[in-house]
Amino acid sequence: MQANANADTAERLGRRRARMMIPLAFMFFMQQAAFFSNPPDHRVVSLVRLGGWTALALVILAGLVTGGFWMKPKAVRELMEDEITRAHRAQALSLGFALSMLTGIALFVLQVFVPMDASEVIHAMLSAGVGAALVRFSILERRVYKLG
Amino acid sequence: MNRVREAREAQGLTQAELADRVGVSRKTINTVENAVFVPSTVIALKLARALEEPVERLFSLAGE
Repeated sequence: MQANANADTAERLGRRRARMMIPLAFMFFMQQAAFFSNPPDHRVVSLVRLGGWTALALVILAGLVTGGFWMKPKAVRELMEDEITRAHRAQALSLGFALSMLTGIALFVLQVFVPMDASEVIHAMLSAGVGAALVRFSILERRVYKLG
Repeated sequence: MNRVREAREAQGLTQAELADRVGVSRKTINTVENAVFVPSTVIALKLARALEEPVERLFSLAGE
């Protein structure tokens, strides 16, 4: 009985996780747009904005790497972290790593022609890596849930 | 190539019941049956045990 309840909960939460990742990615990328269109300075509002972005990036990264739902029972989290989910995560993180490195290489070349702050480069690399991994993981998970 | 769906239906089990027996999520069973995901040896052996079939009857290489 408890096993069935755990399986139902894991399925429901897994679907919810797959659904909520796209809006989360959208929100994350919107923050990037705000960062580059209005670069931060040393005012308090800029520090708050940077703090918000850092916190969101950390939460997304932690959720991606661990699966999230840390307050749920271990049995439920184990069911949510099945083989296919781990395979999807590995694919997503691999893409995120590759895009982050490519962004770094592209900006390394670009900075020869256009001067850039280190913070802008780090920001772009983190955004590409975390954002791409998040979107990829969401797409892969949603695809299997659509099977039925 | 796999015969998991066929073997499960022959046993009269739902995906959820088989998932419960194997200790995986229904998503895993569904993706294995639809050949979207190739399970590890451990899961393949657990599926074979739960479905009372030799593992080589449940899974085979394409073209065999």
